[in-house]
Amino acid sequence: MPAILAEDLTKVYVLHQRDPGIAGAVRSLFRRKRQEVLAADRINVRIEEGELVGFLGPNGAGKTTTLKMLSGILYPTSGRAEVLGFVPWERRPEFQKQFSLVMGQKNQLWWDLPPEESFLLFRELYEIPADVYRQRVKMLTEMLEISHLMNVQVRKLSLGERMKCELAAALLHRPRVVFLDEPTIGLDVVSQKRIREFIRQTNREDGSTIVLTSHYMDDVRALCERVVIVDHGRVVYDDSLARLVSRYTDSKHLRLTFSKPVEQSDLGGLGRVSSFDGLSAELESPRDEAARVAAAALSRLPVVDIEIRDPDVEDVIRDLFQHRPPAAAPDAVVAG
Amino acid sequence: MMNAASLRTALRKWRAVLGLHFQDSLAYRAQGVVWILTDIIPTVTLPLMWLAAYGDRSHLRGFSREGLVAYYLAVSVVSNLVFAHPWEIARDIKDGRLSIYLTRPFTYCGFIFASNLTWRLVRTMLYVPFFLVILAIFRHYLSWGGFQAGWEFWASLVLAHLLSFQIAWLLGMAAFYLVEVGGIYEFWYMIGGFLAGQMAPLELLPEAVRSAAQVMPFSYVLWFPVQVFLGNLPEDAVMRGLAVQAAWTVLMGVAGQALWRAGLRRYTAVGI
Repeated sequence: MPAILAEDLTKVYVLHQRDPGIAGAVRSLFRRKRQEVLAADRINVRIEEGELVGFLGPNGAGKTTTLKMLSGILYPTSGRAEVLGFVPWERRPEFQKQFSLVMGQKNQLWWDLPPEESFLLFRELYEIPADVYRQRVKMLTEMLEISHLMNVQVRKLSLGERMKCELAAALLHRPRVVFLDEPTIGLDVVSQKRIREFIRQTNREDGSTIVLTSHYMDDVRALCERVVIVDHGRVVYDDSLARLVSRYTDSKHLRLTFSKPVEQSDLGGLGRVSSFDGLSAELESPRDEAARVAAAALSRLPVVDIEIRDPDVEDVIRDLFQHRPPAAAPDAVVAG
Repeated sequence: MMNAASLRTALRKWRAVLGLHFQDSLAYRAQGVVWILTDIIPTVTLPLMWLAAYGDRSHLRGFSREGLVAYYLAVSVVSNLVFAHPWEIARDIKDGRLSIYLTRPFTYCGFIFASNLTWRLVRTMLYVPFFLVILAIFRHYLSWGGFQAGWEFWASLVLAHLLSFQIAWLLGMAAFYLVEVGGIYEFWYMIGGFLAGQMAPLELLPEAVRSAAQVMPFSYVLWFPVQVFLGNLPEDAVMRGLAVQAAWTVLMGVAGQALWRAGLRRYTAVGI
């Protein structure tokens, strides 16, 4: 049995629009424009127990909508899903006790109380035995270096400190499935790194299945072997991160550094110029012509350094999104 | 059926939820004092107004001066204990905070109930010193006879709290269906408060309004427990009142749960 299974999972939101201004408000009393938004369009995903999968896609692609359905927050319009063998939107306590959702943009801890109070509540709600709870709190707070924050009011914590407390709270009951929606958003580099290490360790030591969404490619690169890319509500890619680059790009990036300033016109015939500042240039050329372009550049220009590399994952994903035509109807808005 | 172990687990969960919300309510005590101050104004001014209206009469529709003052004093205490507000529910639905609760192995309704109950208790504690000042203001009109604090009163108080919560819950559910709920709530505060006997005892209202108020649920939130406490109702009226109060509570509860289930299907969990 897979840990997470979605079959043709679809969500259509119904929005009512109104024109701006007072006249629009009055008109909307009598006639509202009804608009259907296809937020998730026949999503098919199968994730095995213990996997750590990245959910990627631009804002409004449908990642969060899919996560909300898998968490039991939203009912789907059609399709089916199972998480740990349960239908998530039935919200059975047996399911809820084995799963956790962390949202980087929402705080789940009680704002005016110290984190420990929320932890103690979760101990009861998730029915964690006292000794297990003690060990677990000790382990989590040491790993995340937050032991000293347990008695500070949540609202007095920094964003990074709070996020670490949120993560610890979400993992107290040792969930078998964890959804992490933008867990590192807005954090400084040090905190991001710490949280990344923590996620990896949790996945390894608890054997939990983790689905992560993030806008930071560093998170994804560091953590996820497999990525599911969602765009316009559809799964457009579901495979290893490594294969993404080779499958979707047939180009190489060449970075040239010059010993003295050159004119941009000197770069003619060397492929697409993506950046140029006189003393250095970045070129893109088809994969099988990269060697020829490099040779031409070396012979024609005062090159002191040359670097040939594959495009970054960021570049690939950006291209993937930019070049894909919208799957939804032209007048539909896509919401996430 | 629940066995002993699962009952114990459920009780432990409730104790933890109530305990946490009690602490959370205490954190809002400064805010509470401000709200109490706003509520004190009618508690002091309304009886003063009526006292001026007595003139040479000793009774107004059966109310002595002392009885009328006692009514308003009892209203101020009972309303502290029973009132519930729909704002928090509506906000959770509108800004998507509800999503977090939906993932917990404890009902959202339970969280909100605990939040309101503990806040009511904290608010009542905060009210005590203010109440003593109000007692001093009306010291010439205090009569201590006739209070009925038997089981009938406590039952009516508990039912009033539950009924008020169910009404607030129903109003909160409107947020699933409507973009703007503030107007409805303001309207409800005016009409509901009036029909609950917050402004004046129902006995002082025109006959038609009083009859209407006595069939509607609102009077069972405030007027009924207050009158039971003051001993102003004959015993058969108390029993009949308790039955009607219980019936409204169950009816509102059933309607609220139906709207909750239907509303969740429309919930879009915006903002996350």
